[in-house]
Amino acid sequence: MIRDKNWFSRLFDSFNYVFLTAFAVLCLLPLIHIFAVSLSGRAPATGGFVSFWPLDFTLENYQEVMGSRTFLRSFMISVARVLSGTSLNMALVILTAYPLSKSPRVFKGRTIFIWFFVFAMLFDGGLIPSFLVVRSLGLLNTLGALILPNAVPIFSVILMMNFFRDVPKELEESALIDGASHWKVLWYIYIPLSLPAIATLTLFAAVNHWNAWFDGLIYMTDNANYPMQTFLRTVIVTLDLTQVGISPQDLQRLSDRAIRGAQIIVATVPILVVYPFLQRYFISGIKLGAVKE
Amino acid sequence: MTLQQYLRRAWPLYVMIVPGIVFVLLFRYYPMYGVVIAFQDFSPAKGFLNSPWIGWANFEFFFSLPYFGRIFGNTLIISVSKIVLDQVGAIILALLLNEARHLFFRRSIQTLIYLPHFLSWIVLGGILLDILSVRGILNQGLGLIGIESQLFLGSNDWFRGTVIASGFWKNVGFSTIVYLAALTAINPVLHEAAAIDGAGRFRRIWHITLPGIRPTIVLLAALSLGDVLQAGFEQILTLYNPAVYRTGDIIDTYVYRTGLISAQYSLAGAVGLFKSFIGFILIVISYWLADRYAGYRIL
Amino acid sequence: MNKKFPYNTSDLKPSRRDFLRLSGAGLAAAMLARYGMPPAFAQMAGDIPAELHPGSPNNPRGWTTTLPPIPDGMPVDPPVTITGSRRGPWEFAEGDDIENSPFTRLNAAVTGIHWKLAFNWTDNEAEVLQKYNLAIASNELPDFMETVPLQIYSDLLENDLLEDITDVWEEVAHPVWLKEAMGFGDGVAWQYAEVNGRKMGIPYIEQAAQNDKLLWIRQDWLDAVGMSAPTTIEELHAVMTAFVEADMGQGGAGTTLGIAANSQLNAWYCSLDPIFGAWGVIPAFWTPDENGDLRYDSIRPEIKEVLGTLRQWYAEGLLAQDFFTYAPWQNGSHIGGNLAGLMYTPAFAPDFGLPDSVANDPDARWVFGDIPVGPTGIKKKAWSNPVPETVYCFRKGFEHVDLVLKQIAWWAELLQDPKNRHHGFEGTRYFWRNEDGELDPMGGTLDLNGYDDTKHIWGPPGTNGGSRTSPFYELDLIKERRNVWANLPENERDAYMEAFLGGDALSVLWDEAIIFAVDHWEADGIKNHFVTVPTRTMELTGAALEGLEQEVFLNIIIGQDPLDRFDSFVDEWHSGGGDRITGEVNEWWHGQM
Repeated sequence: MIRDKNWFSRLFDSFNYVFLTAFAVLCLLPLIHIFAVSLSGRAPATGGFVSFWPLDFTLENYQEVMGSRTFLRSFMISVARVLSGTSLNMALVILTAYPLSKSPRVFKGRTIFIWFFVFAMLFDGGLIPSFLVVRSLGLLNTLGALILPNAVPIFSVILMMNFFRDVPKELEESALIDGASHWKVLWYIYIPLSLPAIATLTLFAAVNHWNAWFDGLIYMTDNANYPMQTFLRTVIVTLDLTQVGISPQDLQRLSDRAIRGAQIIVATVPILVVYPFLQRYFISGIKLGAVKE
Repeated sequence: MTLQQYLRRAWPLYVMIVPGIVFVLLFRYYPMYGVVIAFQDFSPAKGFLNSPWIGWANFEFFFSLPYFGRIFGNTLIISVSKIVLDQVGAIILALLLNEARHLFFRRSIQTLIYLPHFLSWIVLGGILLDILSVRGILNQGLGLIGIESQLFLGSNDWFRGTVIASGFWKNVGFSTIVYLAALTAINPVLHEAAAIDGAGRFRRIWHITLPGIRPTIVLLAALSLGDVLQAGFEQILTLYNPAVYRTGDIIDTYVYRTGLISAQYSLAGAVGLFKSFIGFILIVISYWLADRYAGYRIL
Repeated sequence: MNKKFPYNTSDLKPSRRDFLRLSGAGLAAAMLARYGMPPAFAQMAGDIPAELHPGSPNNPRGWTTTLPPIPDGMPVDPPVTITGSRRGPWEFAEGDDIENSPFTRLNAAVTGIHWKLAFNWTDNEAEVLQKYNLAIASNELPDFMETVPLQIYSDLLENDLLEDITDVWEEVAHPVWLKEAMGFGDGVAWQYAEVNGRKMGIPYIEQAAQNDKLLWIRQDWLDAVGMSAPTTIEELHAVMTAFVEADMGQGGAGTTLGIAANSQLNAWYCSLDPIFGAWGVIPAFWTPDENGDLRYDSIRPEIKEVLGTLRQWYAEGLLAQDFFTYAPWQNGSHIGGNLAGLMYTPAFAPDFGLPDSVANDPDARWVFGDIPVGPTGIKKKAWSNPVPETVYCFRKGFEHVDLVLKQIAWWAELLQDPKNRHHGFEGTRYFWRNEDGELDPMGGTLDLNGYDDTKHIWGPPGTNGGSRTSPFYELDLIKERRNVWANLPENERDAYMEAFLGGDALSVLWDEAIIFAVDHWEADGIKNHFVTVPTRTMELTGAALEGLEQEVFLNIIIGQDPLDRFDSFVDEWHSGGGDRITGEVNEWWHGQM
C-alpha cells in the first residue's frame, strides 16, 4: 500500500473524509426523517411536527403494517421476484455478454447482434402490444409477467460485455490452445475474474426488480397480486384527485404519514442489506493475481 | 479457416446468445408493431388494424403545439444538465472514495450514498416538499445566515435548479457503483511503480486511475445520450405546479396532462417514437465518432 | 335546464346556536330527548342460511337486520357467473377475497349470481384509464363495468361495444329503489348514462351536496382575537389578518396562514371557489349568459377582480407563500398541524384534517358557517354535481342485465332503507375496530365508516366513495338516527346505534354540516352546465389551454405576472382554440334543450 505523507496529501485526506461524511449524512437524513415519522403517533406525524426524532413514540404503525395481509403478500411477491428475476437476469447477462465481448473475427456476426440489442434497448412498441404478448402467453397475474419480459437487461449486457473485454487475453488464449471450450473459458476464467462487475450488475438487477412498479400495475389485473412497490404506490398516489370521489375516511387513513413511513421503511430496508453483502466482491487486483500465476 | 473449423470452436458462442435473442425477439421486437399507432388516430376499441391512418399528423400536431419550444427546451436543459452532472459527479465521487484508505469508512459511505436511490420520487416528493417549503429546514438554515427564504419549488428562478440538484442527489451514489467496479480492474502494480518513480498522488490519479476507467466513462457517456430527452417524468410530476410550467414543464408531463383529458395513445406513441429515434441517432453518432477518431469501439 | 333537487331538511334542522354548541364536547346527549318512535324490529328472512345473514342477533348488544323480499325468480337456478371490474385494494379476512366475502356469499344466496373479477384498480385516475384500455385492446370486456371514465365510455359507445339496457330497465328496474331513486332532478342522473334517449349504462350517484364547501373556522381563535364569524369577504379579510397578526397557529412565529389553499383554485379540499363565487364566477365552469348561450367563466372580467383580491391577500401574507406548490390533500397537514384557522371545505372536514387538528391541539374547536358574501352582495360557490363523470356499463351481448338490475335494487333497499338496519356482519372483521384501531367484531367501538360498510358489494350501492342509487341516502340515515334511534332507551340500543349516538363531537359535526350544505345546495350553487364528453377541440388543445389558465392565474396571484396578464390570457384563450370550443360547447348545449 502506498502512503503519501506530504502535507498537501494529508490536507486532501482530511477534506476527503469530511466531504464524504457530509454527503453521506445528506443522503441518510431523509431516511432518518421517515424512520422518526414511522415511530411517531399519527397526529404529530401528519401535522408535520416530526423532524428527526419521534413524537408520541409508538410501535403501532409497524404492528399495523405487518398485520396487513395485503402488504405482507405484496412483500412476499417482491421477494420472490427479486430472487427469481435477478438469477434469470444474471444468467442471461453473462451468457449474452460473453459472445458479444469477442471480436467480429472470433464471433462472426457480432456487429449485427450488438445492434440488434442496442436497437431493442431504445425502441419499444408501447404498452398495449407488450400487454397482449404477456396475456397470450398466459402470464397475466403470475410471477412470470414480472420477470420474463425484462429477462435481458440490455444496458447491463453492454456493461458486462465491456468488463469482459478487460479480462487479460493471455489466459483465454492459452486455455483455448490447450483445447478448452468457450464454456470452460467463460466458467473458469471470465466469471471468476469479473466478480466485481457481476456483483455490480447483480445489484442493479436486484434493485430494479425491487423498485419496479409499473409492470406490476399493468400485468397484475387483480391488484391483490401487486408487488410491493406497486402496492406502495397505490397507497401514496391514491391521494390524487380522482374522477370518482374517494371517501374521506379513506383519505384520513391514507394520509396517515406515520403508517406510510412505516411502510416505506419496511419496503426499503431489505434491499439495503444486499449491497454490503455484495461489497466483498469489490476487491482490487484479483485479475492481476490470476494473470501472475 | 473453413466454416467447419470455425464452427467447431465457435458454436458455443452462438448457443450462448440464443436465449437472449429469443427473449428480446419475443418481448421487445414482436410488440414493435405497436409503433404504428404513431401514424394512426388510435383507439383501443378499433385496435391496430382498424384505427384510421393519419400519416404524420400526430407528429405535426406535436411539433406545432403552442408550447413546443418551451417544453422541448425545458426537457433538453434539464436532461443534459442531469446527465453531465451525474456522470461527472459519479466519477469524482468514485475517485474520492477510492482515495479514502480506511476500509470500513469507505464501505460505510458507499452504502449510505446510495440510499436515496431506493426512495421513489413519490416518496421523496412529499419529503422534498417539506424540506424545501418556505418553512422548511433548508430555508430555516438560510435564515440563520441571513438569507431570506426562497421558493425552491415555486419560483421560475429556482425550479430547474431544484430538479437538477435533487436528481443529482438521488442518483449519483448509485451511478458511482459502476465506476467503483471499474476501478477494481486497475492493476495496483501500476500505482506502486509510479510511486517509486516519484509520481505524486494527483499525478497518479490523472495518469493511471482516470485512464483506467476511461472505457467505462466513454461507454456510459455514449449510452446516456440515449436518454437525452428523458428529463425525469416522475420527478417533475411530483414536484411541479402550474406556476412553474414556464421552466419546468417537459414533454412527458405535457403529454401526460393531455392524456388525462382524452386518452391520446397516438400522441404519446408519436412522442415516444420521436424520443427513441433521437436517442438512437445520438448513440450511432457517438459510436461512429469514437471509432473514427479514437479508434475505440464502445459497442 | 333549471333542475331542482328537492329534499326537505326542515325536520332535521337545529338552530345555528345548536350546532355551535354541538361542536363542543358532550353534545349528542342534548339532542337525544327530542326525537321520535322506536323502530319495529323485523324478522329474519326465510330462505337465507343463518350464517350468511347480516346482523348480530345473538349478541346481547347486537342487532337484527331485515332482509328485503327476494326478487322474483331469484336465486336463479342454475347460478350464473358474471365477470366484473372493480375499484380498490381492500383488506379481507383470512380466507376471503374480493370474489368471496360475506357480501358475495349473501349475494349468491339471494340472487344466484357469482361474481368473478376481470380486473381491478386503485383510486388513481391514470390507472383506471390504463386498465380499461388494456381490457378493450385485448377484446376482453367484463360483463359489468364499474365506474367507466367518460373518455373510455365514449370510445366504447362509438364502437358499439355497450349493451343498450333501455328495454330491460323499463321492464325490471325496481320502481322505488332504481326508477324513483334515480329520477331526481328531472332525470339529471342520466346526463351521461343516457345517449340519444337510450340508456347505455347506470349512473354513478354521489350524496347531495357532498362536495359543496362550507367555511370552517376555529371558534377558539375567533374568541381569542375577539371577533365573530365573518359574513362578508371584507370581514373574512379582517379575520384572516387578525389570525395572522396574532400568530394563532401552532407552528411558531410567522407561520400562521390566513386561509388554507392549494394549487387548485376550485379544489375538493381547502378550495377558493367560494371567493370566486362571491363575484359570481367559478374558474373553468360553463354557465349560461343572458342570451341563454354557455360562456366560459374563466375569461369573464369578474375573474380579474378576484385574482386582484387574491393577489393582494398573497402580498399581505394571508396565503402561504408557497400555497400553490401543494396538492389539496397536502393541506391536511396544514389543518392537522394547526397552521390555519379558516378553510373552505366540504362537510366531510370532520373526517379529514380536523381529527389531527384536535389531536394536536385539544383546545381546537372547529365550527362551520355559511360562506361570506361578496362586495356586491353575491353569495355563491361551485355546485357539486351528484352525478360525476362516470357510468356503470354492460358489455354488448351480455344476457343477464336483468339479474344485475335486480341485485342492485335488492342491495339498495337493504342499505338505503335505514329501517332494515343493515349494520354489517358480526364476526367478519370488516369494519369494527377497538380502541387500538384493531378490527374487532364486537366489544370495540364502531369505526364510523358510513361508506365503507358496503364497498365489498359488487355493483352501484357498493362502489367506494359514496355511491348509492339515491343522492339522499345519507340524509335519510341521519333522519333515522336522530328521530328514531336517539329516542330509544339506552338499553334497547344496539352497539351500532350506540357508536353513532355516542360518537365524538366531530361525527355529529359532520351530520350538521351536511344538512346545512344541502339546505344551501340549490340557492348558493353555481352549476357547471357543460356535462358531457370533451369536445374535439378540447381533446386537442384542452390541455394547453387548461395549463395556460392555471399558470397565468397562479402567477398573477403570487405576483410573478402583472394583473393585466389576465387580458392577454383572454386573447390567447380565444385564439388558441377557445372560440372553437365555445362553438362546440354551445352546439351541444342547444342540441340538449
